[in-house]
Amino acid sequence: MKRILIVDDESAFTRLLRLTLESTGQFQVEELNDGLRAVEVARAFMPDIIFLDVVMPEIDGGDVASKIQADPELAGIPIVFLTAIVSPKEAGNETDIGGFPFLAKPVSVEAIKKVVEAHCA
Amino acid sequence: MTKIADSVTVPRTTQTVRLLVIEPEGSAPRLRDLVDHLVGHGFRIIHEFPNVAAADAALERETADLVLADVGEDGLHGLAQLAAQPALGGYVPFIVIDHSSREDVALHALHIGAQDYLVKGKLTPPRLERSMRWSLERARIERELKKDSDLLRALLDYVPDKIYFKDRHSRFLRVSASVSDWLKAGDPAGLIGKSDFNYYTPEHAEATFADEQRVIENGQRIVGKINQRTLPDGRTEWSSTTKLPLRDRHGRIVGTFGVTRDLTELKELEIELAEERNRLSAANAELSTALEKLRVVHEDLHNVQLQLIEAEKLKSIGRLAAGVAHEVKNPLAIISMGAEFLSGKYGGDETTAEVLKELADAVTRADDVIKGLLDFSAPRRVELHAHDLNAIIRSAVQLVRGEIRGDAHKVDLDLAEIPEVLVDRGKVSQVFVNLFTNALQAMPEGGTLSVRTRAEQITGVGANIGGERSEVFQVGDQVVVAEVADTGPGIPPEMLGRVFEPFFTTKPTGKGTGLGMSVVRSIMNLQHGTVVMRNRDTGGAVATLTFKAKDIS
Repeated sequence: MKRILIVDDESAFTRLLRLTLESTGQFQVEELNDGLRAVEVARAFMPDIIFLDVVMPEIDGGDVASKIQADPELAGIPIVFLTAIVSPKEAGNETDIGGFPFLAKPVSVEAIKKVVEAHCA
Repeated sequence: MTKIADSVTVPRTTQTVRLLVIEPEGSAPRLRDLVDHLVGHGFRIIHEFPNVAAADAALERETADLVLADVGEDGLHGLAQLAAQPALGGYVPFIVIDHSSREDVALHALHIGAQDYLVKGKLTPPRLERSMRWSLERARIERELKKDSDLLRALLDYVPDKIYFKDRHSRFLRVSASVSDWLKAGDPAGLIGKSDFNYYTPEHAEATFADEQRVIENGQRIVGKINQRTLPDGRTEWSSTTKLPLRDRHGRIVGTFGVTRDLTELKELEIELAEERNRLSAANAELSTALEKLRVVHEDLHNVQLQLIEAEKLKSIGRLAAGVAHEVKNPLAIISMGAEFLSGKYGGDETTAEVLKELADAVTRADDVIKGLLDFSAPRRVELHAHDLNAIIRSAVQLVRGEIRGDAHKVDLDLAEIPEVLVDRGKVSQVFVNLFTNALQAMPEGGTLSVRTRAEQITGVGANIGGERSEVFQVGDQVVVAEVADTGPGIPPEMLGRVFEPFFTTKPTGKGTGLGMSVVRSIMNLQHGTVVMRNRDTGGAVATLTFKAKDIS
């Protein structure tokens, strides 16, 4: 069972995403609405993949990603951005933000599953 | 009128004729005695002198109307004294009276201007009266003639125009003082008998001669003929000449006469004026050109201003779009995730599944609007590469398959052999997808979507360079034209001008974002292409896209 950490300040979204993913029976999901605690929670949970919102209060997704990668224990964990500010078309043919893959909101469970499969072989 | 004879009536002034008599002492019969018979006929002696010298002062005063002069024994001497009198002849008429009929005295008397020559012995009062009347009348006529001749002289002496009379051989009969002055020939009388050949160059003299011979031969007048002549010092002399046939009293042409006016000064002024006018009209033309340039610049500025306003508008829309996208997409993400969650849980119930499907569709619709907004307002970069436009069109048709209803829609591709175009493939693909989608949606009941391509050269003739194309392309440019046409209802004429405006749509709410066509235009502008929208004569709308062909060289 894959372990997924979702970091997003929208608690309604994280809760629904957790419930939906968990309902498939294939994932164990931890949700976090405060980006500042991301490293601490990740260390405790040790996820297989982390989904990160880009625009969050106090700290943005980019900074959170840097901190996670800077942590020796977390460095190898794949990070995927979830964002409401770009659409794939807007970003042109680019498939990543700052070197990380991304998914545009609203996002479907199907899309999440595909990304997890792709990154956690 | 006074009757002097029974049968003859002659006109006579009512005034008494005042006589001055010169008669040596002892001459008989006395003239006074003869005149005394005529007092009743209006003659009266006011002076009597024994010789011409004594009459000097009285003659000078010119108080007499007529002089009767007895020249005495030595007739010729008497005549010589009379001839020396300036007042006689010219102003006061005189009659010479001799004692006996002498041929030499008679002739000389007439030669010095006497009105008549009478012999005293044969003289009777009636004869004297007749002679005196004749003399007075002749003198009157001479005075009249002299008046005319004085007028002619005034013309010839003082008018600055050159006046001349010539005979049949173009020899001067008479010329004005201005002619002799001009020729530096001294006394005008000195020119008589000479011709232009004596004074002018042969060419000029011959031309003048030929003109005058024509006047003589057919009596035709030359009026105001303008002549141009180069003077020896290099200056150009201009003149206007009028020449007429000179006729004798029988109407026969005996020569010519003419007037030549120097126009050099006038002509020089005229030339100066013409030059001034040319300078003025050149200046005027320059002004017009400058004005036209200004107008063009003003128009350009106006267009730039419009573009800036448009760009500013788009920037605000961009900022708005980014903000809206973030604030709307998060709730949309929640709704869509919620719908997925619920369909996992209650998807088994058919009604619930339908409701959830509608919910998910609504989210997709809202998301499409926001995506369109972002597409439209996002800062754009284009990567231009050489592509086959026909291939892009074929793949774009595949992308809209979902919109094509096989039973109702016909897709007609007429793709000619065309050069490659320099475009951003992804963006141009979007242009065609947007146009195809619009066209198909304009024909909900079915119809034909036709796409044709062709190569063309901008010739600058007619509509080929008209409209938007002229601002992007130059004459001679190789272009590829693609036309996307539908058989729908077309665009209402009043809305044709607005189809490229953001958020302009004719579709019902939910069917279109109102951004598709503005995206089409902004993409076309980004790759230096143009798009023109119009209605077809045969119905339906057609979008004409023009791309610059890849330079083969």
